[in-house]
Amino acid sequence: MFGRATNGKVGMWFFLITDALTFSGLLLGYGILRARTPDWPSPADYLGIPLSAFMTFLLICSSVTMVIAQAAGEAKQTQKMLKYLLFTALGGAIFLGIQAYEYWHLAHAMGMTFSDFLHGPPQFASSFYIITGFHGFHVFSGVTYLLIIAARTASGKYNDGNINHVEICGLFWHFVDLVWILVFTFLYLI
Amino acid sequence: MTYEQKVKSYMKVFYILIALTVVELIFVELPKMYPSIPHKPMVILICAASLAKAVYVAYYFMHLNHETPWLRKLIFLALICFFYAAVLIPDTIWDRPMVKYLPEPARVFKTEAHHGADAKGHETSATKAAGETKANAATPDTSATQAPAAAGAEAPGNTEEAQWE
Repeated sequence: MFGRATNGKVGMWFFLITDALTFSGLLLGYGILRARTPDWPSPADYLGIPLSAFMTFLLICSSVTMVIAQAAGEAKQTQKMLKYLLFTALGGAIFLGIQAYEYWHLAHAMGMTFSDFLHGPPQFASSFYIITGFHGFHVFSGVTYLLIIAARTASGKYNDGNINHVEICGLFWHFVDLVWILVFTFLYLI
Repeated sequence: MTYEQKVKSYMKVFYILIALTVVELIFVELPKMYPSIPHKPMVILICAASLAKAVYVAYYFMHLNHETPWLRKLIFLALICFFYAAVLIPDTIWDRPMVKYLPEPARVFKTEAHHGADAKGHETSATKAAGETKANAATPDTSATQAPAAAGAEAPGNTEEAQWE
């Protein structure tokens, strides 16, 4: 039924399906909230598009370094795999730093707090923070996960070319990237 | 496939993802620069581009192309919910049919008072319109609630109309 996919991989896929449903619920809630709230502001007027576009670029780059790390691991080039895993974790860490700056800026310059918004309905601020915050928590978990895998790589656990654990970690990381692509579109662009 | 061949194919996907992101940003900026370009088709194109990106990531980076068709279908089942969100969110941006049916008496009074102001040239017709608004405002209240509550709801309606006149 699942071919050559290992039990761990299938387990991660099932987890990702449930996680995707959680995010879908949040996005659908956002859509309904937006429909029922009069005077919903245009997101581009208050949220920084250039900064969030750079965040998207960063996550896509870290996704690419992750697949390159997997390819290096399959070719038994462990040092290269470790290098690219650390690049991936660095990309995620920079993303978190930018997001922290973004929250600080929005709270101080735009009057956007968790429960209030100076220039429009408070639902705009709350839904923004809950969806990007939930995603940011995924990025944080992903960076922790990547660092654990990198430490195991450094200790020589994946020298034999069996990188099943790295692939499972990669699945989670790509999912974080996939969700950000959609969140970026729905919350920032349209 | 060797390591170099794999990296080459991944870089191809990377360029496609970056190109689609740039396309999205162009679709966002175009209606701002040229107001004659309609906004609605741009929203559809932006959503289509982002869903294409999501499918590219799932298919090539998460190696769905190497999985069995059964697992592939199972996962695209979850993506359907994202597709649904992608349909619902632009739909809410365009017209908001639900807002029209919100029970907001204040809104009803305001708009009808404006109609009264428009017809101010004929004083008699203005007072007639005011009487009609009273009747209109009272009927939904009485049908929706009990009689004593309706009597209470009518009182603030009268004062508001008096203010507008």
